[in-house]
Amino acid sequence: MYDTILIIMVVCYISIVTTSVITIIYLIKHNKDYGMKIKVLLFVAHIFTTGIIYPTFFLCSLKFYFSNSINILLWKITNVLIFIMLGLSLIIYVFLKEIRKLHIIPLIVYSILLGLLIGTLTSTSSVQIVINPSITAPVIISDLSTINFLYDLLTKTIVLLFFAFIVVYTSYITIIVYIHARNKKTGNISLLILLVFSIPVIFFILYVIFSFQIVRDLHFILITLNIIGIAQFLILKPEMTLSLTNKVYAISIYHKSGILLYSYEFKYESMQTDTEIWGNILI
Amino acid sequence: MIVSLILITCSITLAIFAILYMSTHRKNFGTQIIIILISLIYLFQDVLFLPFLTLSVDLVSVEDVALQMWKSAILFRLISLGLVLTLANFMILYSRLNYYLTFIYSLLLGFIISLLSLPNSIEITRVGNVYIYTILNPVLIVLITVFDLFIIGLLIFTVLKNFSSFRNPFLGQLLLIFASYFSIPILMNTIYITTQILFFKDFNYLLNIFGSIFILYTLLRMPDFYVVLTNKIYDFIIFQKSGILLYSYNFETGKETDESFLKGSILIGINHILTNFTYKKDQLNLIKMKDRDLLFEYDTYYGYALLIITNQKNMIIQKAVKQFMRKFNDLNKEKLKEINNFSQLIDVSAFKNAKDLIYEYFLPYLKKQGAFIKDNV
Repeated sequence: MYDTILIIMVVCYISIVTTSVITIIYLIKHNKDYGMKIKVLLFVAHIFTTGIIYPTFFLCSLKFYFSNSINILLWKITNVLIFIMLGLSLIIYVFLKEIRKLHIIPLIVYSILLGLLIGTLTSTSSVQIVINPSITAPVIISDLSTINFLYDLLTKTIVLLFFAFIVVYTSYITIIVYIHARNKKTGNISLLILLVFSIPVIFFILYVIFSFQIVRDLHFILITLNIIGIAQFLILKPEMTLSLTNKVYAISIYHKSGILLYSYEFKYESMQTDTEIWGNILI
Repeated sequence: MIVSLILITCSITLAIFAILYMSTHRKNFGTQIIIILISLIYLFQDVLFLPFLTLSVDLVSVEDVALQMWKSAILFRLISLGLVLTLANFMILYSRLNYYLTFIYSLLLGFIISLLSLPNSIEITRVGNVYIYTILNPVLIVLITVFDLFIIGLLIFTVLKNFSSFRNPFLGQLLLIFASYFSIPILMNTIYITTQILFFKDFNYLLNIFGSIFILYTLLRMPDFYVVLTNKIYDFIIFQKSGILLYSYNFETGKETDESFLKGSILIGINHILTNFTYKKDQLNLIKMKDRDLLFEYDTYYGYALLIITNQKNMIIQKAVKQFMRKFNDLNKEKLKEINNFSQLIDVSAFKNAKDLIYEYFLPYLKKQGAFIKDNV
């Protein structure tokens, strides 16, 4: 059983890293398809963190035993990385709603929680390593790994607060995007993003609370699937990375005398403005 | 102990007086956000931080309570410094907070809070009548020092960076003096926290009380100081809906202008809007240029519009415009009705009373500022 899970994890690791490298190269080569450089930078940073650095630390800390202190350190870094990874995801998601418009209060909450986590993790008692643990999920599946980590109450509380914040804020953004979406399709995409985003987070929350290894490994598998899905989305549908709520109502071309040369009205809603009037104003 | 009690009483009294004064003279300070920020700074600095620090050192006898109060004092101080930075940002730019700096500040704040909350991070010992606090975690000392230097550096950098854009050079110099002055107690406190030399704590307290008195003085005598220091208005124009210029004032020269300097085409454009605005759901309220904002405000009932050319549209200007229009309507409603109802010749000299209203509502934006103009209106 242990070998099977290990093989699955290694396969996942190879898939996630390969996909990430390919996606990053594609993003850099086709950066013009994504509108703005900042977006490409964010996507690259997100894929690099989630698809390369995070899985490496995750796997090293859980599946290879070096020494207690090194494995704990690796796991602590993994915890900080998941915070950073989710932060980047949130920025990208907020940018999908409205470009370059971060909300200052959530930014402050996020940064304080990140600071709290880093500070708490510097304490030696924040995370304990257990080799050959007795904790198992209350199902027939036996222990899947020989390494497990237990959090102290303070760290557990901060991690849970952070994840609660992430889920609540993502849901809030999703509702806003869904209400103001360009069309029904983009509205549905926002719901899909929420779903894809939340499930691995929920699995990690369960791991932090109960320390069930099956949940932790499932989290990793889901992250792999997420990255593969995101990569496919980025490569095949770059136009969907444009702002989901941004609408264009009309395009008008004027001659320098103010005469309307061409006008096109998009179908979101009927326009009341007489474009001839605006020509004079613009000129 | 008596000196400590006197200092605590002074700082709390000052804070209460300042908060009460601001809440009763709200209209002097532009927007609510400035009042809220200054009140919070007084609350965290003079009511919470300084009294808690003093109480925890030489007035509270129970060790655990003293330790918790000392930790709380550090936390209140960190929050108050963040509020000072936010206030400086609003006073200078009235803009959104910088994302990167907000991130760094909040990250450091969270980091310091978590280290403070860890057991055995601070050791408390009684020496004579006072408690001495030793920070056992070197990371915490480094972080507090970095935090303080970050705040001082950012405060002075923000003032210097925008120094040439200040509306009034005197207020700019005053802000620079304030920023430099407040850097001293911040440094005194850093030295006290790291070395536990009590002289620096008391000196810090005294400097803070003097600082609070200075701020109170500016609140009482120079409320313009708190109205976005880099915000400028260039022109103020009132149009009738037919496109006729009713009144125009140039803030740069400080003179009324009979002819608008604007190109005729803009006038025609505005005329088109004014002719049509009663049939439209949305109105043109703002034209954004590279370094100018053209702000429009309409009165559909009396059929006129205001055009304000500024370097930045903000809540303070919008509020002043609304107040101006309300008073302008009160003073000129009969004339405006006559113009709208009967297509008669318009005597624009009837609207010269707008100048007094500009002095009343846009005083901080006038070139010759302050009491001089107010007294001469």
